[in-house]
Amino acid sequence: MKVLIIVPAYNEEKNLPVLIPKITAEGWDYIVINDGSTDNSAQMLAEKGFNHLDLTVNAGLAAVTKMGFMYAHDHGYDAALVVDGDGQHPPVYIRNLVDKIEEGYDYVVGSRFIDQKKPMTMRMVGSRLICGAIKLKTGITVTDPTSGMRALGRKTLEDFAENMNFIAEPDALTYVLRRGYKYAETQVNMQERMEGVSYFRSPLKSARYMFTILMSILFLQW
Amino acid sequence: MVYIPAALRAALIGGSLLVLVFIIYSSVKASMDVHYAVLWITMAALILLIGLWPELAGAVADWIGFQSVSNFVFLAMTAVLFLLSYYSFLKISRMNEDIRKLNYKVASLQKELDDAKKES
Repeated sequence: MKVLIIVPAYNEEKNLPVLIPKITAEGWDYIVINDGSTDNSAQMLAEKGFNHLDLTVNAGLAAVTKMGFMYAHDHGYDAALVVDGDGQHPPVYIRNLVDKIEEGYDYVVGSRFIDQKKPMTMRMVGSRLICGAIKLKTGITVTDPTSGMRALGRKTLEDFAENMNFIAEPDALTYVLRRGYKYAETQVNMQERMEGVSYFRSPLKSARYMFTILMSILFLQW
Repeated sequence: MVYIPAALRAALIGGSLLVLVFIIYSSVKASMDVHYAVLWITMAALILLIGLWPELAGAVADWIGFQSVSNFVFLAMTAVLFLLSYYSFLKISRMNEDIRKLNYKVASLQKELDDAKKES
């Protein structure tokens, strides 16, 4: 099975040189998509000879992952897997997700909370709210809807490359469940990001994200 | 408090409900960008809220000091549309800038390609 690892990256010039060798050490094909970074990512990627796309205009995480799926689909890959450029997703878990795809699942999420308890942080309160909304919409219980580490089989890859209209992982997951794709989760242990800053900084931004994602799950994914 | 006849009330509720359903349906069908779709659904939900409780608009109008509720509703809607239109101009202007950048990028890639062809 031909598998492509998609690595969305925005200002990750310090993390990528650590992450990419870990991915290649496991023997995977990968593509870094540099989302118009303002640091020296573009130069670093070219110098190190990493396989990558440089976007001229910053497109946002959702658009970048979509481009990754389009690339995987265009280049004849059977499956694609998203691994964040910030180093949160340890490449050792890629195998577990790919195994599930090989078993015939269409969409596999690397969940942090299958055999571990969800902590009571603000972010995890948000995660619980999202789980509730997904349960309400699809009747299915998921453990980690915001996990960015996920694998797509051939069917979902084709669908996502063509008609993807999501803002993030939870509404993508809702779409997958509504469409009746075969869904599985597998335990992964994530790390704190190594360097740099995350997409979510201010409480206002987080509140807006929560509102938009809940509206998208409840009204826009069928 | 303003008196609202039953037929008018029914028309308000029916109309605003129709708007909400239409917006959700066509946003999904045309895969409108989620951020914009959510903005418009929220607007339609607010209109439905006023359709369900026109007294709410009346109370706010009274409280601010409007002589008639319709003046308040018209002004509020105009203000909202004014802001939405400004917001779309903001987006258009950012898109123009993005297109300029992409235009330049395509042209310079084309030149690199042509130069490489000439050399070979």
